[in-house]
Amino acid sequence: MRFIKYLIYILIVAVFQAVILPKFAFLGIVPDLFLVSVIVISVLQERTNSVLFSAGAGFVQDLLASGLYLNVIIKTLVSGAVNYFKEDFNGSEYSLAVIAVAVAAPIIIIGEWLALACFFGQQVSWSYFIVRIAVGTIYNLLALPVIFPLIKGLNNDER
Amino acid sequence: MTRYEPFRKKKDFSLVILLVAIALFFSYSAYANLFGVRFLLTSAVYPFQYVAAGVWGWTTGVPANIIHLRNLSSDHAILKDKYNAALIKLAVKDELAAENKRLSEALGFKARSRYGSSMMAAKVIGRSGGSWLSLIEVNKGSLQGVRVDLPVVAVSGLVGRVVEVSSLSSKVQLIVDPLSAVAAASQRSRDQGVVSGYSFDRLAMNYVGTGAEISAGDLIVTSSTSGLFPPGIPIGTVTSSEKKESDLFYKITVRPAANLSRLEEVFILL
Repeated sequence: MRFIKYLIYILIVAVFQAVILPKFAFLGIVPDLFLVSVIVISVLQERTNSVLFSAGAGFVQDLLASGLYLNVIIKTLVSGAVNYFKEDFNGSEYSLAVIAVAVAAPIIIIGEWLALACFFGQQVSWSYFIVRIAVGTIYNLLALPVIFPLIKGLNNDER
Repeated sequence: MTRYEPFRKKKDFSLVILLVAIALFFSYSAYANLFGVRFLLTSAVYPFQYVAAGVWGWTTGVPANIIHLRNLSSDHAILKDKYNAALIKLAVKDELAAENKRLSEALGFKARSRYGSSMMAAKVIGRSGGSWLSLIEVNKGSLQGVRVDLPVVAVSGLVGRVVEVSSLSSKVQLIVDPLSAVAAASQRSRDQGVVSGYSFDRLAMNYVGTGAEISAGDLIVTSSTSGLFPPGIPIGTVTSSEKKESDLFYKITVRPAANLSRLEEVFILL
């Protein structure tokens, strides 16, 4: 039951990410709902479930992409990192999620840019690079208050 | 909670390591198609995207349609007049086209469309979820004859090329994607270069040598040296062209001719 519930959730997020969100893109930037979902699940769920969810979410996101298939690795690593740090974190679950999004979002954008530059020799505008980091992170932080209660609700239904 | 738990939790990351290893294997470009599984899974996701795009289009279209209904009657009368006038012009043009065809055949030329290929209209049903990549998904796939590397255009200019095909949909890499590279030339001076993505609405034209004569306002089109794109398709307009004394190449930025952020319908050149 839990598996089906999360599978449906991933599909809905995939459709939202690919069809609806691009209509509201600012400078071509949209929030990464997969990343925010992975972080929230990693904060709320136990390690094995959250890592498996992250790998699945990354895989679906890679299905939507083409040319650079890094989402399975990125999402799995993010989930692993959040699970590692949450054991020593003293604050609330929500504040951990906020910190994780604020830290992970720019790191991922920089990481993907480095992959493009190193493996494909491609360069992008510096000003756009900085704008992308700032707007991308803010967008993901804005998506968090919507996704956090949604996933918490899904978790509570199971108990 | 047992005394063991914190220790076990800290050290047991074998699952993460295993998944990362599998992910690395799948992410390697040679296995990008996942032995055909990717084709099947992409086809499975397509109906959800298609329905969502349809529902979204219908929902957002309702208010606009109500407003347009008011003007429908007067618009209809105007359009009818224009249609009748156009019919007469069309009859004359048909005659000229027939004459042109006869003369061309007589001269041994083969009649071709503007870009030397036939076109297939396709609707945009989705976009890439990646941070840097710029892809669109269209509702035509291998069943309709779409193949990888086919050029895609809009009314105003080049859009990109097909990079992945499933049975009912295809992914199109936009020219603003950093991984895109298009052999290009200035329409005025015929100087050659390679155009690739630079930001969400700007392209960079690279490898244009010091002797070139490219300035702001020049139209950049696909080059005849391109193996993928027919020559002469508008790519964009030069917005800036700079070169320092020590530079080997110009630093040229180009604004795409097609509005790539507002694409709803494109044409695949078959």
